[in-house]
Amino acid sequence: MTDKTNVNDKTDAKVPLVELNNLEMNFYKSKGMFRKPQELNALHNINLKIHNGEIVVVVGESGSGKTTLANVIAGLLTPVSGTYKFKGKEIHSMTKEEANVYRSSIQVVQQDSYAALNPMRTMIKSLGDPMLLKKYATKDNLLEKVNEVLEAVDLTPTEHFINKYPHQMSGGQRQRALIARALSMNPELILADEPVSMIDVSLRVSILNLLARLNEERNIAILYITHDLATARYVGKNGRIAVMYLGEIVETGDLQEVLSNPQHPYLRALLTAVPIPNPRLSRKRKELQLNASSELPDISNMPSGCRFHTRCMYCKDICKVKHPEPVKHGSSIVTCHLVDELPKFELFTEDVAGA
Amino acid sequence: MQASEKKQVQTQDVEPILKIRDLCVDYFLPNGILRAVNHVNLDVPTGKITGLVGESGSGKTTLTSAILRTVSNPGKITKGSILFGEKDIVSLSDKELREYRWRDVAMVFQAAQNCLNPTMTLQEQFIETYLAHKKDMSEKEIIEHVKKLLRAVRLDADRVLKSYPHEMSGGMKQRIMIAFAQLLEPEILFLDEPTTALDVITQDYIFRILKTVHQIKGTTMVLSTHDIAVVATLCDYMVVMYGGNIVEFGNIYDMFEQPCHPYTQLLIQAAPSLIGDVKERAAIPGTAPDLMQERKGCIFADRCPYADDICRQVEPETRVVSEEHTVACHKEIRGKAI
Amino acid sequence: MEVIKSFFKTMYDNKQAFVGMIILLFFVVMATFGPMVVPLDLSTDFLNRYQWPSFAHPLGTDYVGNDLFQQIVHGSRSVLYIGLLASLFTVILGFALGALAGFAGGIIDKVISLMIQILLSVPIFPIQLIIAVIFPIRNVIMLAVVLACLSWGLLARNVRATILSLKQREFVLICRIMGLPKRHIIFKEILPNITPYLASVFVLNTNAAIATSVGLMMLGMAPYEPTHWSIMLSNASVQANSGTNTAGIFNMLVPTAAFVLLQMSLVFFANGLDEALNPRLRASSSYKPDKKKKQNTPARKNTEQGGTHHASI
Repeated sequence: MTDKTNVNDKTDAKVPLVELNNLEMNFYKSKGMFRKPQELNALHNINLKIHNGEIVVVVGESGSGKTTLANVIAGLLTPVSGTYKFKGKEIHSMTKEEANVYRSSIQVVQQDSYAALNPMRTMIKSLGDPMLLKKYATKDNLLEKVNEVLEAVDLTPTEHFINKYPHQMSGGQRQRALIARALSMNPELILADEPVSMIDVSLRVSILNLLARLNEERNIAILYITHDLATARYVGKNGRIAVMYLGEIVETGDLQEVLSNPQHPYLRALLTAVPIPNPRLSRKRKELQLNASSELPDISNMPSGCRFHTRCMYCKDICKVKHPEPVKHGSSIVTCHLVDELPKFELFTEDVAGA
Repeated sequence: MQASEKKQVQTQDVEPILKIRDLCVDYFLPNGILRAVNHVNLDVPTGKITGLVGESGSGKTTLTSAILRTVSNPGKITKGSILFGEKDIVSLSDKELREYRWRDVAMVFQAAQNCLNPTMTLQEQFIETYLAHKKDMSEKEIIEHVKKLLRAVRLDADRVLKSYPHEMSGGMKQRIMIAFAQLLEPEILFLDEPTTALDVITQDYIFRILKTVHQIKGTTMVLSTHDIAVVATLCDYMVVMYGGNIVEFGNIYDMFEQPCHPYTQLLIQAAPSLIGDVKERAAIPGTAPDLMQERKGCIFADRCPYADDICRQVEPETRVVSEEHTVACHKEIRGKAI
Repeated sequence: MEVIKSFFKTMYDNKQAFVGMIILLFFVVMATFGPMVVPLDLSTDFLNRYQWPSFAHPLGTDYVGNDLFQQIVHGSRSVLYIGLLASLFTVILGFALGALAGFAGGIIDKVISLMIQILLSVPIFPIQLIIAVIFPIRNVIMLAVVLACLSWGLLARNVRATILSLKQREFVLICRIMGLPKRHIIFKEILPNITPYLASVFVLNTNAAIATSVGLMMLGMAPYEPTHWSIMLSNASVQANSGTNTAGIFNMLVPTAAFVLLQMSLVFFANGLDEALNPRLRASSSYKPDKKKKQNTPARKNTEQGGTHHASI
């Protein structure tokens, strides 16, 4: 059980909650019975720190490795090399008790709320049993505890939802139930993997606000994984962002900074591609600059040098040959050879007030 | 505010390509009748891109199905007409339907992956589909035609034609579906959440392709989605649906800058955006309406911040706000641009 | 309690399942109490052979003048016993082995899968015959065992496959992430998803078991019970020269009808069972804002004078 102090200073703890260093993750694709399986690199040189009560947003398309990263942090996958430290202790060398604490401290909220709930069990069972098993509640106060956690996610009136099956609830309600379940374990970190992608756009903001509120009120760190940059700002107002491409983190830094002053060409491309709910502004936006119609490369056929060079409009010879190392640029860290030479990024073609 | 149909002031107009009048679609379920589309009146502007916006359960998918006459049991079109030129789609015979579908209107579905036959090469599928409708071209000519379409969606025609669907990525399949839909050069192209399963960059790419196709061919397009930002980016007109009703329709700029229906205002306010103040975003309170209950008053009254007694008793009529802007609401509310 | 109440409600709502349940109940009552109430007189009475239904003989008489109704009632006991017992053994065996294979994995899984493969590729009936010859069947229990010992393959394979797929489902993964004990995952998360399947398999297997038992009896490998419906049918068929002697039509029709009715009721009941035990399939949803009676009229029409949404350019 964690000690809940009312410390709002998010950078208080010196030791980060989660620390990943030089993480590598590979998958093996079998090439038939007689050939060596092909090694596919899913994560490369991942360096990421999450502090207590911090919000980190990971942005990437499908195929960028963001889900693999989530699985590694959740403990479902073991990285091939690199270190993964939880509160300063390396995961491998944890004792059984320490491992248990680590497991309960990180809770996951998945994308598909329908698949993440047992269709045969009502809410009181799905939410209550884990609490009983981990001794966060007793038989006597179970109902009270479940009500507490349902109220925390605005599933009220709670009596209404206690006996519901998943298929009797709407998508948004199920997603809140997932968050409630994660909350019931008193986590220090909630890993939200595309929690709003399967929900109608008009409902997304409320779920994102809920996550942001939980972070503020309970000092729970949040790792929010998404492919939709527009939603990033709603959770991570005061947080950090990491942009992933083909298994690497190509840019990372303070969220507001990075979004207003993006460096990496991929991030710039993303920013020009996200639709804006404003017809005038969206038509004033500069056109997406990507190299021809190149699709996202397959990880079985990883580009040489910089992984983004096949689609990058600024691509130079060095980009095709040499893999760039992450360098500090202002307050962000960018993985690009040309980071000092890139022109200033402008989202709109004219000076648009209020942008 | 009584509006009459006589108020259709059409100056230098083009006749709308599709005129929907008083359309109702009901689903006959074991525990009641669900009204999915409720007295919809709509003129689809010719040669423009119209966005059809609504959450799940708003009736937009059913409306699109009704126009294509693909509403299946237990659903039925119970009232109204859909005029395409002179023909009423609702009363077409099976034979006429087969000609109408894909030749006059075509559709690009959500998650295109499941629409292609996995056992045939794409070339075979294109040819087969074409010949099923028209027999005026030889196979060679059809292939040339298809190659042009594929190039218009920025695909490598030679490679694509020889491949099987499973060899293509999601984005490529979606583009193939757009090419497919254009095969017989339909007058209207319907798109149902065409980019939901795709990432942002591919989505932007497909939008630009759609815009190009639209500019070159002048095809009328109707894009159905729950993402209002997509509509803002791509469309010329917007139709907002709620609980089976059309609550507002208008020119895209009018709709975003002066939304008159509270639901439209709330939708715009709820959409996450890259720009603008984060605090201004707010969710829409309440839950979706129960479409099986008997309707009393405005369907949105339960969730509307401006609702009062008249809203709860009397169903609002559609009134004209300006030349290209109509709304179904009792109140006179003009929203702010956000 | 909730489960039982909603179970009956679902059965009632699904008319077909309800009918099946009633008929099945009728047979169960007949099998349990019938033989105590209805006498059995198997003395031959040739004068009365092939009688049509009358007050004295509600279903007519057979080729030796015995009352058909009495025979059906007495025969129902052995038919039902054998069917249900054999099915029960099959389900227990199939489920146990399938679950073991699915949960344990590794070498146990491989061994059991091999056994299943073999079972499914060989013709079972001849082997059952051979077993019946080697171990002469003296009573119902043994018959049930013989029937079950080779028919569990399909069920085990399905159970194993279901468990393997359930293990990968997200709601199970999240239990692992939450660190919940294995015991909980197996019994509280995965198994409830299999129970509806098992229940309906049990009911349907009864059909198969009855059919097989008939085969064994006809070939004399199982204890001969003259009132067993299959025996009735086979004797009647022989005596009536397979139906060419039209007088014996009733004699053949009655046991056939009894079989058909029983099997139909089993199938209908199984359908309803599946629906009743699976909350997702239940037609009624308690998520209605207010409990109004069924509305048979759609929404009020009020927009006849409504305007048209259009662009008047």
